[in-house]
Amino acid sequence: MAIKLNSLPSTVFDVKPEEMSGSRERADIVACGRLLMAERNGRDTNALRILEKKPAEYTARLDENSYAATNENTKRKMMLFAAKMAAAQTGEDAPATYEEFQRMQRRYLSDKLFLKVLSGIIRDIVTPVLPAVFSNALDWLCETVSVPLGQTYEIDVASNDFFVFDDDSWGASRSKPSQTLYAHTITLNPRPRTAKATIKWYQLVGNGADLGAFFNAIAAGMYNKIVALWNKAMIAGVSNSFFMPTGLVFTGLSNPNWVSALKAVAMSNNTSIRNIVAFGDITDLSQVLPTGNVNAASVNLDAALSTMLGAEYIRYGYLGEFMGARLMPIDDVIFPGTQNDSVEGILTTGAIFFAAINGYKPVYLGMEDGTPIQIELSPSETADMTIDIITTVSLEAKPVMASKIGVMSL
Amino acid sequence: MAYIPGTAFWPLVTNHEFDSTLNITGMFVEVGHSDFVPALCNAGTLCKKETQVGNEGYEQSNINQINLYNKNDWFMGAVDDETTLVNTPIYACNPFDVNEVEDPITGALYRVGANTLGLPVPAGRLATFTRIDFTGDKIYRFGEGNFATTPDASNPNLIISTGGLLTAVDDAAIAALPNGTPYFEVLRNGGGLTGYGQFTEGAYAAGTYYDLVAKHVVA
Repeated sequence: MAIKLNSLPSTVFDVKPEEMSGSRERADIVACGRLLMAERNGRDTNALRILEKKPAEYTARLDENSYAATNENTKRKMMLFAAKMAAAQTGEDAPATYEEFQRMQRRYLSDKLFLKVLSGIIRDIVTPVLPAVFSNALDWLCETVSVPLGQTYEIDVASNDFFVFDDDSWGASRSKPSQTLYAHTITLNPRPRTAKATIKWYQLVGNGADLGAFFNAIAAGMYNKIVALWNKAMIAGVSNSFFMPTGLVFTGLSNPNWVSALKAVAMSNNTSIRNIVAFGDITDLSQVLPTGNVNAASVNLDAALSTMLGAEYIRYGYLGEFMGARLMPIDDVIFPGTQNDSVEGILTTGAIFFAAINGYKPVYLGMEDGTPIQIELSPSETADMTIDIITTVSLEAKPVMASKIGVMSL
Repeated sequence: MAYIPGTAFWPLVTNHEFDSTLNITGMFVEVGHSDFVPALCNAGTLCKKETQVGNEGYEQSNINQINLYNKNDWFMGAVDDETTLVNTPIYACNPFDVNEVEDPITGALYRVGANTLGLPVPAGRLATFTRIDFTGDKIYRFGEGNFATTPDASNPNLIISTGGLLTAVDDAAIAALPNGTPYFEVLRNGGGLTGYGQFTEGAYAAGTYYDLVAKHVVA
């Protein structure tokens, strides 16, 4: 479920002038902004992977010097372009250099056209990259759907019932009980979620603020919220017997329980055990090891078996397959505010989910169209030189679990 | 709270263009229980802040049971007695969402219909609450359903009573209230009320409204 930034299509960074009202200059600025965002996000991900002793996921396109230079140049070009547009409106001479712009900054601070042009560039930079971040998350357990603006997304869950054949006698078939099928409806009505970012003008212009980090904070916050909503829906689903039959709830990790879970989920999904995948936090999956009996006592054989099972467990911390099912770790995300403190995760731990590879995903996430991602750049009416950027996305996540899943608490 | 026909709210004269904190996000709850119980909220119900609403998805982490709260989203309880709310913000439920109706069988919500007058907020939904400015120069329109007793020429003033509704009283009753107590007064000209009329919804008359000036007692 990690962010697959290297899979971003190269077209994201190849902005054509036609897309930017015919302006090559604007197209270049937008392309560099997108590149900076992807680079910053990718570098942060790689740093995390180093700590986790895993291979780097993102191949950097820029080295450190190039990143810094690109960041600074993009910021300067953005300001000069917006100033040129504003000056053209009044017939003034646009600032030729960034230093000249800085001397004239107070004139542009209150210029609506300047800020509107800036707003447009920021909108273009953020909008195409955010969906790439969003869609790479929750690949396995979340179905993302678009909801038309102001409408309801209706999920009609057809019946998984089947008709029972009664024993009969010739001539009496009409007296057999009438059976029917009932569908159930679940609706998604996305609601707005907003992050408001404030930039102090002087720090942006005069202090070399890192634009890539700023845009990354918007994307990361949205990704985090989506995962949080999905997690809440999953917990709500597995805790509710309406969605989670008692026969698919298992307590305690043991080999017999594991096989029972696979069998029950396979039967419920009309598939084979080989098509069941076990999802969970890596701390939980690392506990999935063979157990056995020694001298009539149940013992955990992981110390011996882990070395015999060899490179896979030692290298990755969990077995790739166990007793018929593949194991798939779910990447956790940081609980906001704890990244420099207790480092808490959001996702449910202490539980392993079993799902059929060919089944419907258990949670549906609706994203409302027409509010794609709103970014507003509005000048402050006060003298504190701040610019506000308000990003709103409309989302709702609900458990559906049309295809049955199993849960095992550890 | 059950739906009350005729409830409606519209800020008629305000400073909304320049006041970023005028509207807040809230969830209406029944108070007086050990936990807050989400309930349906009628448009124009007068409320006060209770506690912050948890940020959805972050309410509880698995490890430390920590919570992340929305900084400015609040559980809102109906005002029962405004005399206890001198200098305390009072808000009116002012839904900005489209009409939603609930399937009584499944509980599913559907967005249907284009009507916007007097929409209630379904229980458990976040909605917009608008702060009432009681400085004496703001005017608000309420539907007849928001009144426990309707005003007339003898009782042109409104105090907030049980369930966030308005009760009509005379000038003497207002004068007896503590200094700073918020109240409303129907727009009037001399002795007669001028601030009332009929809502127009579509091509039809849709109930009586009253235009109220938000004031506070000056002893």
